[in-house]
Amino acid sequence: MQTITGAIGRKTLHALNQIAVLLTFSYQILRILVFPPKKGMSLVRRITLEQVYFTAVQTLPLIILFALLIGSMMIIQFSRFSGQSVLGNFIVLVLIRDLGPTLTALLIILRSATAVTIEISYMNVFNEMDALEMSGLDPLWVVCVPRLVGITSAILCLFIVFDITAIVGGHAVVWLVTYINLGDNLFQIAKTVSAADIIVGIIKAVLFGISITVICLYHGFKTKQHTTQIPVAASKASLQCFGSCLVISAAISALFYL
Amino acid sequence: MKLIQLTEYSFDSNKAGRPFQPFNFSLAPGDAVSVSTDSANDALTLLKALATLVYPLQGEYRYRENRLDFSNYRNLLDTKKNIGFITSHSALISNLTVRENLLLMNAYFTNSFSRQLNHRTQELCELFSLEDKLELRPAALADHDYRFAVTVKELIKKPELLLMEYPEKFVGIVNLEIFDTLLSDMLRAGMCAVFLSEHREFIETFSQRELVISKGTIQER
Repeated sequence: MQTITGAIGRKTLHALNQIAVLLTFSYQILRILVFPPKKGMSLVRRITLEQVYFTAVQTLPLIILFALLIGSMMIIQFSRFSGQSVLGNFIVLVLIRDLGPTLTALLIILRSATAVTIEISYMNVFNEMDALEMSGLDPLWVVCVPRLVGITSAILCLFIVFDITAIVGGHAVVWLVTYINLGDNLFQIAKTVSAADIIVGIIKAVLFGISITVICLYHGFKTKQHTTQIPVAASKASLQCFGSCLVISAAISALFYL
Repeated sequence: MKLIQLTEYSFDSNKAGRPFQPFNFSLAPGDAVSVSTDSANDALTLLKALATLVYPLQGEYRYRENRLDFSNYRNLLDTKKNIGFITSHSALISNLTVRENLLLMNAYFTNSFSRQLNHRTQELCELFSLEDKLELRPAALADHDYRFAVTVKELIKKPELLLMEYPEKFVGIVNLEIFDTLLSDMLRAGMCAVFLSEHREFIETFSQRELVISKGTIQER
């Protein structure tokens, strides 16, 4: 019994310690973002643009495809069961408030977050972080800030694309390939969406972006000595990223809608 | 004025995990010190400590008479950029080409994206036969070219202190003569050097003093 209690205690302390480290790390990156040094501004801007390109632009076709599939699937399934106004409410409830930001985050985690963890781990294992420091470059400024800004803005933009494509594109797909009568469903959805729904979606997207980036960077920087630690770090980071997104999503939904 | 001054300085050894005995050490402009050791790992750790990559357990590190503050890595960046570090721990950034690696410091400190290498860098690239490899990523370079690129990158920093681990292996025996000339010029201009070498001629040419690492102690001979 004592052993089990001890193990639970140690796990809890470890988890709390990790959360504290992640919060401190986030604070450090955000502080340098708010009070940026003059040195390296152009370089950081360029790396940020590259990150936006990798995370947002290259993911765009994938997000559109997923959004069309999920949007049309949801409309087909739920139009069978409910009246049109209920369907409108349901889509707002599920898609805009929760599914949109969460699925966007999941795609970013699968596509970019693992890549960032591997890249940073690789740089750490092969002494590239030390090489940056030996050149007088601040890794927090040239490595962390561009990824934070790039990934967060990418999630925010992709979440908007996802929602619009899932609703409008989903309707278009259903109208094109089925005989389901959608009536004034789009109008019902537009009537149901409130400013709070959009604000919640934006808050979630921003917090997802910050948590995903910080977790990936943290695991990347923690990998020190062996290349065999890199896949372990990537796997841990992606799981923790998704877990943190679900927790953030639940907490914000509770805060706004309960 | 001393360039660096270490007082009662101690740090952890690389592999064994035992700390070195506290030692005192100083370098004045133009000094060149060779390291002889019973463990190459310990010598590399010493070079890393001089490069402020390994943090002290105790003691004081003064660079140009300013006491270094190890409480935050960012306080050390200005010192680090003045130190050339040519060791097995040195690296190029893998997702940049050799040219971009060589221009990285310039891009950071001058906010410029010129792709033109300056005259000195071009000269060094020619010396080390890197001109046709500038657009390659480090992973595409042969081992010796990778080491040459690291050497060029560190030399173009115009370091005040140059730390080297087996320069004869790093720059290759063929290029050692060229490197000797470069190093002599830089030492005459006031740079300091600390190096670990097995090349007797190189040691005899450059070593003015010797640091001996043995069983966890560092002593000057």
